[in-house]
Amino acid sequence: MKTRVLFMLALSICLVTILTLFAWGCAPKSTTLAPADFYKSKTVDWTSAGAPGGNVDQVTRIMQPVLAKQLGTTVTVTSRQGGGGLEGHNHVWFAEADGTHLNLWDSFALVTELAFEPGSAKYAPAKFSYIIGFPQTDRFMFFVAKDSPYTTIEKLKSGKNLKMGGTSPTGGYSMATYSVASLLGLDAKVLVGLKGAADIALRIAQGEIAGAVMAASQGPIYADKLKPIFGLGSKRSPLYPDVPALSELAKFQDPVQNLALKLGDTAFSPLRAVFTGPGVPQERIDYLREIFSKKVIPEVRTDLQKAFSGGQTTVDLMKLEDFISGANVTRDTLAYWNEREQLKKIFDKMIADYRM
Amino acid sequence: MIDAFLQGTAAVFQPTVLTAMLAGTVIGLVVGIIPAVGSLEAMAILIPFVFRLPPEVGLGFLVALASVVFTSGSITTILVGIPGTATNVATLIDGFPMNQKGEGARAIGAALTASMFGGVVAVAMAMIMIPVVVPLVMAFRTPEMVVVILMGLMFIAVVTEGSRIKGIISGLLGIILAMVGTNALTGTLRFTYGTVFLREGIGLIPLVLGAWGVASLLDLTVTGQTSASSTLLKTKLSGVMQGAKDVLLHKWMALRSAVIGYIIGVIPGVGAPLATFMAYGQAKQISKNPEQFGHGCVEGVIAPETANNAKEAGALLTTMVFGIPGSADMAIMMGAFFLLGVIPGPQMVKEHLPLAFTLLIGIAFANIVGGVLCFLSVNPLMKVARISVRILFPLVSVVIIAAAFTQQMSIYSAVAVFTFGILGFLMKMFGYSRTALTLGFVLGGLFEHYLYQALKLHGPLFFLTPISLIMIAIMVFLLIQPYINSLKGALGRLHTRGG
Repeated sequence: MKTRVLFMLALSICLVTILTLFAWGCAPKSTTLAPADFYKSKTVDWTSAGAPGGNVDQVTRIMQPVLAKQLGTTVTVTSRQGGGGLEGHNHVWFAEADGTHLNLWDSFALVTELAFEPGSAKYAPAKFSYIIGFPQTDRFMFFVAKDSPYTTIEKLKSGKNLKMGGTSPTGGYSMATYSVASLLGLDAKVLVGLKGAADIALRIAQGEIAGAVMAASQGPIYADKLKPIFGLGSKRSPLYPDVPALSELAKFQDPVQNLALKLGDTAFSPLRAVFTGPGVPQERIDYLREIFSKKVIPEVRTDLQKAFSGGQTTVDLMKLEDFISGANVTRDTLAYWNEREQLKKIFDKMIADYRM
Repeated sequence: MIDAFLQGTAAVFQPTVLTAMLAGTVIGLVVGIIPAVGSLEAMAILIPFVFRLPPEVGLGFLVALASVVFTSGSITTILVGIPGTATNVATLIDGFPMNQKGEGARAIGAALTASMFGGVVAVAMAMIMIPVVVPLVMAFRTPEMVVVILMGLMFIAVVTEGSRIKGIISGLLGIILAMVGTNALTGTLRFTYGTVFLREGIGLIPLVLGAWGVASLLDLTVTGQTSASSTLLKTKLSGVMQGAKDVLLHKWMALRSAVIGYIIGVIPGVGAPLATFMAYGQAKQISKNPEQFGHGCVEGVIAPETANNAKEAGALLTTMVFGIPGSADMAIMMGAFFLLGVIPGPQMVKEHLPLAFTLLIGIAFANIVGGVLCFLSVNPLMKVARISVRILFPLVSVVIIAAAFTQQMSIYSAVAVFTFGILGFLMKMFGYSRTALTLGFVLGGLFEHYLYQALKLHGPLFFLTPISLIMIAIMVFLLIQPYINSLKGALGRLHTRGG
């Protein structure tokens, strides 16, 4: 009797084990699911690595409901600010490589953060899987007060002990301002630590600083107090078609200067990239790319323009054909990554020469 | 201007705008009650839902939300001893002790009435000052900012309960804690120990939740009390109305606090907590009973709550008229402006002046409606004060941990909260002022920031500007005023004895 019971028990256990293994083997693996079905069964976690309510956070939240609708699933935006974005980037780097962890950031900043703060960043920017990129809508321009005596490059060059402004020591506005001072050989120092475009605009208007670099879209907001005198790089801003670009006003022979000028066209009008971690299956990357480029971006394009351009809608700053595919974003980021040592040397020298 | 005002007022009473403002008010009140979740997070989440609405509806909703967060935050602050928002800390100094004495209803009545008063008065000031806000903002350059913040730091000596030396030590500790993180001016990492978490510095929320919330809970646990002695608890409406009458009795002090809050709100970059602490400090300075402050004095509730709500109108005005966000909330509001197709700044004054009036009136509307709704909720909410600490401690601890965690989605935030909780508990035990710690923390980083810039831009004699010198004179007067009063008293007594 006892033997019979034990036998039945052992048989039951074997049968259950076999059935379980069979069921598990038959169950569709996530890797075998088509991307559309895969995403329908998952929750997408979109990291917002910027401050709540900041530009990156806003853009992420604008796109989130549209992405959720197109994927047919829940997309949650999780704020992971900290370390200037590093918390968010590190999170996505280490997250499961299944394509359900997204991030949105400036692709050039991903490189500079690593170049200047290597200890805290755990990722390699070129190895992220880039889904789509879109350009900052406008150029960086050099602004002065409306009643400033420094209304031309020649007058700037003749100025003595000029004070200019920037944000964080290695932030975009600061880098661009050092770059201007370096390219033009100004007798100038850049005061860093200002809290963004509004603070910069206020200081220029108050006369505490002679000028600074800001995004062109900030100009109309402070139009009664400030005016741009040139744009960085080689192209004019669509918002200020009458204001020349720096390359039209001055010639640069030095390769280092030319690299800094090139940054005015690329890094200082950088790409915002939507990306996920390394190792995500290519079919999911392609699927997300198609969803973003054909469904999400067209629906939110006008709103993105308003968010990026300080409300400007008089000029079409975000043409659909300007959106660059993820492959190009990867290529461009890799190019910066490959040049990072040279970039770092250039910037270190600029910072040493021009930071107050 | 009059036409724009009338148009703006009429817009408020459109059903869609009214409904949006009402919804914003209710959501703002709910957000304010939850510790550490402020209008910043709420607006960031809700902006995508409103940016396709007409500007007066979408912006009206957000403005109403931001205006009343501090109103309901005072309820949590007074009843449970946990600041509903970081700017409610000054209310906690006297609000929670009032609750412990059984005067919680009175404290809440005073807080709600003061909030309504501050919000409405500031809106009136804002409307009158639309033509002059630009020159005012332009006049406050870095030297003036240094002196304003120095005035705030001076209040460490004023708000300190007990030993002044211990208060100064607490303030200095707060300043040191503010140094942790990345120095925005030089990019140097200070006291981060190689962690990513500390690169952004210690957050105000973990410090406030810990040093005040957790510390109060630990204190209650050790003493075994409820948050209010049930034998003394007065939940009758008369308690609440007494608080409301207190605001009328101290109307001039409340008016001064509203002016302080409004002006601090107008000046960009100063920091919202400064308004409440300066208002508290001036109330203590001029009070006939300054020794009662810190032990449950109703003036210590009225002053900060008035300033708290008054600053929003000032911050909104600067944002709309100048295009410079007057506060962190307004930085998000600016984003909302852009998304709704309104460009803040001089362009807005020219093209959307009625909208500006609509939004200012919206602040007043939200403050009044929010205050009334809170008044109606006082009785049921007062029951919280009777809950035994054995039940309260785990419940509130969970809320605190969740609130801290959601700040950065990091467990280190929760660790920080409990670390500061122990620090706050020990400070309370040994008579060191947590108020001074908080004030030093809030202002220390700002002071360094602006002092560095002032020195770089203007040299060591940066303070020799007319406005700075006037403010320094006011500061000196306020510092020596108690001694002048003592001297007058002594001379008077001498004269009496001689006569």
